[in-house]
Amino acid sequence: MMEYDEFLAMNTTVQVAAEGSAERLRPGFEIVRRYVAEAERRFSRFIEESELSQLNHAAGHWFKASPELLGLVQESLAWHDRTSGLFDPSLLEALRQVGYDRSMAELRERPAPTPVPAMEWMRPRLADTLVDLERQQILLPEGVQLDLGGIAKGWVAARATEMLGHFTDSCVVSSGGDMVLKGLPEGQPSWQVSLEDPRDASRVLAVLEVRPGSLATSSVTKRRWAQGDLPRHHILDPRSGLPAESEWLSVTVWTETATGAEAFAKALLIADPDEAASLSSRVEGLRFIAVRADGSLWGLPLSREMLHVPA
Amino acid sequence: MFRLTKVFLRVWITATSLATFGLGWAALAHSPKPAPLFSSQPAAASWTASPLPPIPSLAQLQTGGPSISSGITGSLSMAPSANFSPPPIRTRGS
Repeated sequence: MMEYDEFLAMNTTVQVAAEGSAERLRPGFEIVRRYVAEAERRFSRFIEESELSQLNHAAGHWFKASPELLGLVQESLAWHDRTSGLFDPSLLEALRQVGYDRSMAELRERPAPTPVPAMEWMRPRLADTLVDLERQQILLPEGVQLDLGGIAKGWVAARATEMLGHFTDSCVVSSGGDMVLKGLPEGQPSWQVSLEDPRDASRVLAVLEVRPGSLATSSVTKRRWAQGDLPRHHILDPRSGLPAESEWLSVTVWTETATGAEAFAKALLIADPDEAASLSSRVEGLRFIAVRADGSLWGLPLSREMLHVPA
Repeated sequence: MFRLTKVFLRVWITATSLATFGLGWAALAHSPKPAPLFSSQPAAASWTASPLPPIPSLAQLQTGGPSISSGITGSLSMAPSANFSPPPIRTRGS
């Protein structure tokens, strides 16, 4: 029997599913809720006292970090390198420049003002960040400000799934666009996951057959706002500092790791579709499905395995 | 006498200078030469090129006509099937 829990955290909906009796799973669901709330207080850029905000304030100086923040920053740097810089969590200042300077709920209530004339884009030097594991310290170069929103959701989902794994052999934690799947539903060869239509959130575009691992979706149709007359979205192209002009509306990636799935979902969405095949070949076993504006699904021949074929 | 001493000193200084120069030149000529600390390329004999695996090209996973997903979701231009109930676990962009 599959039991479900759903709650709001990290500016998104967190969905939890686990196989087992409600009685046995209840404490597991409670632990997940508490862990997610704690992680939000640590990793949110919208909370002034969060550890991430303090790290950003300390740019240019060594900062003593918790093992969690240290690990997440280290993984972010590794994926930044692996995606040739297309995954870049250091675009916080550029996000503010295009109007995303408060939570999405606040932004919808109070639209961003007309942009000031753009200055020449100076890309932050994320790759120069130093992580000292022995002393547990991070040195952000001056001018580098991190926004770990997306990758933190994947990281949190992975740890929450591990915790819930003490109560069941089969569970899923989905945090916004990032999902981690452990085990398999009883008697099933895979998990069935609805792929939301990026053009209309009330519709399902396809059903995916997903094996244990991580699934992440990035979309240019979520988190949209207006800055003056300009339509904006939150997937920034680090090469221009502006919202990416993508041929695809969304990209869904399956990999073994949650942070890898998140990084490559963003990188493939930003990359030219011509580059997508070679970029995705950098991670063994990676599969992706992209949705174009006409609703057609694109991917590598291997990706077809993920599409559910009705009997 | 003074003139002889002067000539002797000149010859002696010139001879010892030449000898010192010769010894220094010989020592440097046989000393180890500086070499690069890192070689940017492996030795030609140990390096063999191997072809890269082919990069698969992108493919459209479903077509506009009867497709593998249209029957279950009614996506694209077709109306959703009345019987279709999508799995509650959903992946959505963030």
